[in-house]
Amino acid sequence: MAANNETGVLHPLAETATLCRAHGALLHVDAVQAAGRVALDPGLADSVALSGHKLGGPAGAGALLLRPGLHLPALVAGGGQERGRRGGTEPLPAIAGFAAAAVAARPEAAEGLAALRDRLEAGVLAAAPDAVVVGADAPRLPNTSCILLPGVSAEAQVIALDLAGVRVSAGAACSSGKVARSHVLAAMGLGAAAGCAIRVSLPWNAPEDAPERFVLAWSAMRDRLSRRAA
Amino acid sequence: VFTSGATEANNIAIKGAARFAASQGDGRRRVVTLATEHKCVLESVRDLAAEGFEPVVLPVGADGLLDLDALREALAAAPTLLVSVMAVNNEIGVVQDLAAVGALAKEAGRLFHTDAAQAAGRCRSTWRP
Repeated sequence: MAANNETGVLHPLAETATLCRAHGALLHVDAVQAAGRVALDPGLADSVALSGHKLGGPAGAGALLLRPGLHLPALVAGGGQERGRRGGTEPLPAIAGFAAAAVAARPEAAEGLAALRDRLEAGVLAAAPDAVVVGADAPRLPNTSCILLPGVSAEAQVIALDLAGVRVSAGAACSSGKVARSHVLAAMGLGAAAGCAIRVSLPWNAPEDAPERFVLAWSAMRDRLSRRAA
Repeated sequence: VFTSGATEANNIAIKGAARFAASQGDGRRRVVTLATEHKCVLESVRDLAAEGFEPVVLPVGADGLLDLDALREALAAAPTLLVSVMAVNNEIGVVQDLAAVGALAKEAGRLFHTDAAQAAGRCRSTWRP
């Protein structure tokens, strides 16, 4: 994947592409989180997956970019749409919304979010030296923070922040609602702490004081829940 | 299950039922449908041949209707897992007798799937899942 959906960590795609090409392997890139937020060169990969609603479009349309000459059989058979590669009537309204969102996306503007994110993370770490920003040393999306608070379950953090008017997710938003520790953080070697991280995403229109408001709510949440955990 | 439409729904129902049965050790391999079904049903049934299933595509009469005796014969010839018959044809509008087809298809624990994409909202069904 280009950018991880829980940590925002950006993988070294150019180097990965070179390695794949040297060994004759096809490279597929899940660019769902990266699209519209960082500059991407789709030519690096043989195939690239995109999702309209992650860009701000309506749910119901995504896209698979294919290198010319790459042939693949349809997963959904019948109808002959998309030159035989996906059967089914195309959801035109969702596709039009996807297109509008793609045109409106401004990766260079998203970079401005990095300053807000850095302030948010610095505020959290100043308030709680035991907190960890996962993947802090790696290149990351400008709008994503994965903040780990040892000893406090992600679910408890999400609920407490929600009550304070701050919407974050435990791990991937897609699987929210099920109580499970993050496989991503477990794969990064975080062990039991993998269940204690929240994902904070700054929207494209985040207000200038968003970091300070978040840090206030987060600190109050931490004071209350850490005391209870202790 | 919400889907993108009937094409996806037919794919899931047909391939899904066949793959799940096979994963549970079900020995039935026959999957029966009609020559006049929508391409997504025909191609889903035909795709299953590559996975060891036995697609049977029954002809229809000059009136576009399935001959129930032909269905009886196909079901008697080999253990059948699934029968897929559309409610209303998308090119000619012919309405199959789903009550009769369904009753026959569902005997002996067989699965019955119907593509009701053309029928829904346009005619009263005599058959309920």
